[in-house]
Amino acid sequence: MKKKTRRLYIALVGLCALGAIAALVLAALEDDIVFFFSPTEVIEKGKIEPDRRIRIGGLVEAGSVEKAADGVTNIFVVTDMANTIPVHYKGLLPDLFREGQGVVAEGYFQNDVLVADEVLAKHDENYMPPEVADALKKSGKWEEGQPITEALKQGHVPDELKDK
Amino acid sequence: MNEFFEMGGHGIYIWPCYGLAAVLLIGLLMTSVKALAKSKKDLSIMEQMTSEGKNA
Amino acid sequence: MAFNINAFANPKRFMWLSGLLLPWVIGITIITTAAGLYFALFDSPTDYQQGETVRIMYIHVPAASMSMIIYISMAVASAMGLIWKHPLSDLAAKCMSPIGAAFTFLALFTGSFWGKPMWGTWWVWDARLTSELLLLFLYMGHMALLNAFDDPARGTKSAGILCLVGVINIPIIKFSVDWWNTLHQPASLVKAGGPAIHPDMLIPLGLMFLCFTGYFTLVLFIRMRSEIISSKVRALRLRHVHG
Repeated sequence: MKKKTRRLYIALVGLCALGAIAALVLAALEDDIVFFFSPTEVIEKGKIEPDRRIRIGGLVEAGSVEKAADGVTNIFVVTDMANTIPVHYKGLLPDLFREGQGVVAEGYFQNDVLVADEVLAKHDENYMPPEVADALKKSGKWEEGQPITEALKQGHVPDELKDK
Repeated sequence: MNEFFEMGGHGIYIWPCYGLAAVLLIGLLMTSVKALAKSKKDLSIMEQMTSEGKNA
Repeated sequence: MAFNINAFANPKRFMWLSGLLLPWVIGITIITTAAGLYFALFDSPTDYQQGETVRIMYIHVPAASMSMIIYISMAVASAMGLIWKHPLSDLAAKCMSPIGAAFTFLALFTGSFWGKPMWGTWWVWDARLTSELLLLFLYMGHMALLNAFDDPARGTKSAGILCLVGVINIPIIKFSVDWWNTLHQPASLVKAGGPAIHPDMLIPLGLMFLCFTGYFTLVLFIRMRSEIISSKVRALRLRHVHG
């Protein structure tokens, strides 16, 4: 075998081995790599120790946002459309926070309530002007949180909005 | 004009991004151009020395 | 080998070809920079969710793409250098890493300044952000290794191996948002089914992408030409000293 060919094989075999090792390690560490757990995953885990810090993520359930009697604690419910977890949070909510918005809340469980000390907003991958979003919503072609690729492709963007 | 720089209150986040892009990319370009100019100068000096060496 | 790679790119031919292309690359870069900035800052709509901060996207997304594209190019060049001992490939890899590092830093910085107003935090250790930070360390390690040895050939070899090992990080960055729960949203641009970005916003994004690609080509050409001329100077000096 020529030297060059041998080096080529070594590189290819090395890269494949490396890929396999990386895949195994990443799969084994999955629970540490994920940034948050969905309400369903949390419930599947069973009882979460009160001293275990945990992040949960999902959408803010419509109609669930309220202020507690103390006037500073925000109460809302995080849902993944299958299961829900109530969250209590004292502090400033991010600008994007509203019902239907993706959020990640971090804190400790007290009974079945997540008492969060940090709430982050998670926005979706859609980008469009507000007028287009309104028009799409009005036409019933799209709901917030849904992918817009199809709606944009099918040309459901009103013509009068296309040039600004 | 002020409105443009404020960017709906988010100017303090937007302008640093464009600023860093400009500083970083122009800086890297300038150092690369300078290095090229220097190596070109070195080459002309070396070539001159070599031709003088030959003539001597 | 069925073909001789040396026939495609020897330093002399590279000097000729890059010299021929340089004015075009400069022209394209200037035009796309002007047009891209104009659309990004003046003539593109706000976003329905993010308002004006969407303008950070026109720097962030192309910079992040470049950080990965340059790394892949560097890995290909390193592989060619390691396997076929092609000196021009080693040179290309060496000249690419500072540019790649600059784009990676830019992507991280703009991401941070975008994350603060939108997510509510400058930084989180989610899979996307962490793997992109690792990419910056890979670039810096590559640059450090190149200069770490007295024998430049050893530096080139170890930097090349590091670069090849690190290429495993690229699919991790790209697919981190699909494989794991992350704070970073899934892909908007390069994804199955096409982009989830309104056409009016794709114009500045595409122009800025061309601008960064042009810039990368321009700086790469300049650095490679500089390195080739320097090595010629070194060769002449040696000949001069040894008569």
